[in-house]
Amino acid sequence: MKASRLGVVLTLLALCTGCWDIKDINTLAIVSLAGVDKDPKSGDFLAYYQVMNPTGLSTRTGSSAKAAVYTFNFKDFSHGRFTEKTGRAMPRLFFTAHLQSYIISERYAREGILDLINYVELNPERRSNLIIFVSDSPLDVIMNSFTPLDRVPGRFMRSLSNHYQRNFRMNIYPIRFKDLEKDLKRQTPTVIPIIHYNGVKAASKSDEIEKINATQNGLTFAEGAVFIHARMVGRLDDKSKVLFYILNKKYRRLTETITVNGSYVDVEAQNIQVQRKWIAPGSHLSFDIHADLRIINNQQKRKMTLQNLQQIEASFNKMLEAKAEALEQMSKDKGWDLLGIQDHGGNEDSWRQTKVTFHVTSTMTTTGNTSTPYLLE
Amino acid sequence: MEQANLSGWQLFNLTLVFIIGTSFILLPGSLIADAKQYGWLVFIWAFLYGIILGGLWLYLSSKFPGLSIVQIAVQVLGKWAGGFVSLLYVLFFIQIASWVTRNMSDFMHINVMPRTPLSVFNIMILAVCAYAVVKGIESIAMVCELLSLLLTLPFWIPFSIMIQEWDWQNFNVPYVFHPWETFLNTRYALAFPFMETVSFMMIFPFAGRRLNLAFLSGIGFAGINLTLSILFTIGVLGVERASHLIYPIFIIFREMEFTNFIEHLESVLSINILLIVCIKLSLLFYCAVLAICQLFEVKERGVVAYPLIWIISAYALFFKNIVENVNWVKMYLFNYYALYAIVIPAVLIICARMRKKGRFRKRETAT
Repeated sequence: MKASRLGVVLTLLALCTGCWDIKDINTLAIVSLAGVDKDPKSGDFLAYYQVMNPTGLSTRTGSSAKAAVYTFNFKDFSHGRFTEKTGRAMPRLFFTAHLQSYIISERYAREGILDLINYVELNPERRSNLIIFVSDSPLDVIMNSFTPLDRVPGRFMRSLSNHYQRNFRMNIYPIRFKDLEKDLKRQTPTVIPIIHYNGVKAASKSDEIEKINATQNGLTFAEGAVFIHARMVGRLDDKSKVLFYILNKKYRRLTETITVNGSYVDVEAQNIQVQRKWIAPGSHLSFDIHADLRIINNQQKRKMTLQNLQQIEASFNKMLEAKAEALEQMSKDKGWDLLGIQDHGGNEDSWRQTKVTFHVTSTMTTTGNTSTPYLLE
Repeated sequence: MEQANLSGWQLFNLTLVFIIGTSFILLPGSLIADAKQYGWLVFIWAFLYGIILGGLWLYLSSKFPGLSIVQIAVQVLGKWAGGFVSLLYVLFFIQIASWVTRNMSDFMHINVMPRTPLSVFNIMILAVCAYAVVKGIESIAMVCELLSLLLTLPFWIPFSIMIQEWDWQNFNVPYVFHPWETFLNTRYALAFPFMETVSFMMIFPFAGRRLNLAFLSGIGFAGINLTLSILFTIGVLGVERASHLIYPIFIIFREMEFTNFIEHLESVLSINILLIVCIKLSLLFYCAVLAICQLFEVKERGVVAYPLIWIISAYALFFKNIVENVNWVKMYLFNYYALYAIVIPAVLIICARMRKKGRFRKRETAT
């Protein structure tokens, strides 16, 4: 009886599912960053995968630096063909479950990335909460460059986005695949950061990042790529990008320089609240914006009085209203519904004729350590 | 027949887990695709419908205390007609058990272990369930009682964390709601899972006190849970995304990030799903085995249970893929289940009444 039971148990062991789907960490090529470009002539995709090098990552202080990642690149006409192709160049199993972010070349983004969205969403190994960047520099340069402070470029970018993320509503930076998917049928654009490489030649050797100048041959976030229905239609400068997020209730912080009494005052608007309401449904939309202000630099040559603070508030309000109006005008000129008028009850055909008014109020809540700047009489 | 006794709390848990079973992973996508932002509303009328049907089955059962649906059919319709109806129920239980098995193996195959063959999942889980069946309904109920809290908390806690992704704009989708049309298009949500609960007519004889309250509140509580999970899915994923996904709730878990540290919680949900499906499957398997035992007067459940593993696992491969399965559910499930959940119980009630009247008249003429 015991022998027969043992036999049954051993037979069942043979069916253990791990045998088919076994994944040993030592045999995985863990991809941390992926990049996709599309050759406009042939229509072929160029895929870049940065695979972590565990030996390079574990380099201790004092020892010579080793490559933390290796970039593999492949060319094919369909997204689904790359996984198989990786087996020809990678000695390890292609593993994308820990992918940090995707970089898309600007030329591919302008053609539309719906095919990539569909591929990522269908693939059980890839998650749609991957963050996306658009690159305005050649993708091969970006994908073949090491980054300072964080030796894994994927993590470097993730950290950069995390830095911004804190000021977004509920800590959500809406630059993920799933944000593009959610906005697919909406008229409000999705704005994805553009990364730029500050140099010409790729920093492709790990010793190149030993240079003290971290900006040169480094990556920076610049501007924003405007996506409507999964296709990049244009670019927004940094200030407009922030304002776009604010007016769409996604972002809560803004740093501005205003001129008060002929001098510069830098203020940081925090906890920005935006309320939109239709004064006349479909034809007149009003934005009520309120912010708490913090002075971060005051170059005025006078004492900080209550009246002076009110002047700063009034200047800030005026400046923000003017900038919001400029964004609204640009939105109408370019045909991008940056204020989301259509998605919030506006008319699809006549949204450009919708009258939009902005009313900004602010309260100076934090003034810093000094009440009066030092003056030389 | 097994001498078992289920408490009201145990029956409540069994009903809850049985209804939530595979429906919470499989239904939200189709439901949101068909009813858009009103998908959650569909579940409200579906569970109210489930409660009404539950009342019908409880009424039938109360007329024949201590008898299962198979025994009631034989008693009311006689040996041959009743035997045929019982055979239909046996087939019905085996069918649902194999569909549930397939739902589970499809889920595991698509999301967790793509290289492992479907049959391996089927046989492994059915072997465990067959063991549970042999041990009896009390063992299944006790496991369910033990796990119900463990299944509920790991589901709702991470789900609540994802509230941070909630967007009211997701409910602002241009869609004109036609209640009657939506009702017809989503009638499969009435069948799956609420009409499947007719299987509990095999379990009712084991339930002690508070049978009605336990069963109906189990349906109600499961309905509220499903309604909330659909509402959350719409609020978190949006109509556009949720309606394109096969397993939207699993995707919510997969994309959950908590302070950039806790990620990939889908494995928690996978285990959760496996346990819930295991209980539902054990219950259906038990119903099939019990029905065969009662119909053919077999004493040992093991004699029936272990061979059934092969039949159910083979039948589970009936659908070629998940798309075919979902298509069948949408097109034919309501009509098919109506036979077992409405027509036969209604016929049994009518026949029972007629026989009672006939007997009453006979007695009157005799006196």
